[in-house]
Amino acid sequence: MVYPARIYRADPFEILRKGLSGLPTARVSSAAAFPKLNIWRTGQGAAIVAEMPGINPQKVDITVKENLLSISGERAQPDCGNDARWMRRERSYGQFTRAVTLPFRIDPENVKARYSNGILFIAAGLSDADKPRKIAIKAG
Amino acid sequence: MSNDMETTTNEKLAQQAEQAQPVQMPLTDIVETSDGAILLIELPGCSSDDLDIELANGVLTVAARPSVSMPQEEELQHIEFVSTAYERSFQVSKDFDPDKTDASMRDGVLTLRLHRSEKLAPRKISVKAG
Repeated sequence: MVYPARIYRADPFEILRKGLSGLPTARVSSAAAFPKLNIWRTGQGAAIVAEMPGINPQKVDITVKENLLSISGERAQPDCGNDARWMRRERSYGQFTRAVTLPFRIDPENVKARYSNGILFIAAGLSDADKPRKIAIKAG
Repeated sequence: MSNDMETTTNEKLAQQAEQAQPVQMPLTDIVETSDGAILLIELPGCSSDDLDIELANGVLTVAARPSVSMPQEEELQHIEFVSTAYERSFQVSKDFDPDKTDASMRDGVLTLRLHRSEKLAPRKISVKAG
């Protein structure tokens, strides 16, 4: 993908937002987007935090391919018995998938995920190929 | 002296900022069962210690403040949710027994089970033959 050079000038992180706006599943402001994501840029990659309460972490798959990270899974409807009558239904149940394009390639060996109190934390590290490298200058 | 004053002002401002934080209304499912009702309340980022549940004068109030810590020093790039306090109140009819309310918290979802009081539960009346 080619990014016009002028976007770097004003805001170097515009590129990340650009990447996000091209998400396969995302209309970011839409209430239907599940799970909701917050993303931080870190020195070693990115931290992605997803708000997904009431999910069995065993039923969540995180996959990584090049610069695309996707989260998919299922939220099961609670079993309230046969005679249950649903009076109010604001939460959603069923399968979900969400993907994020990051502005760097992700090292699959360097992705850590943790689920606690309904929040999923993912730390995605840069692949070696995308790490900044020091170039030595030869005298002469 | 001036330093002290500054600290006080800063503390005051911090307090005000905290109070001014928006309160979110948590998403809730309500299911009626044969012996009562079940409320499923989404409180992501909260553990059972962060909860405050009160039932008074027929109003059930659930308040919670998430204790989850987000990456602080890093640069926030994209935001879709905020972890601020939650609060929501529900009208509870008089036929529920306030002493028989169970609460359990799991994976950021609070499950409240309200039971109808036995005295007021509908009773089947059998008709005697004769």
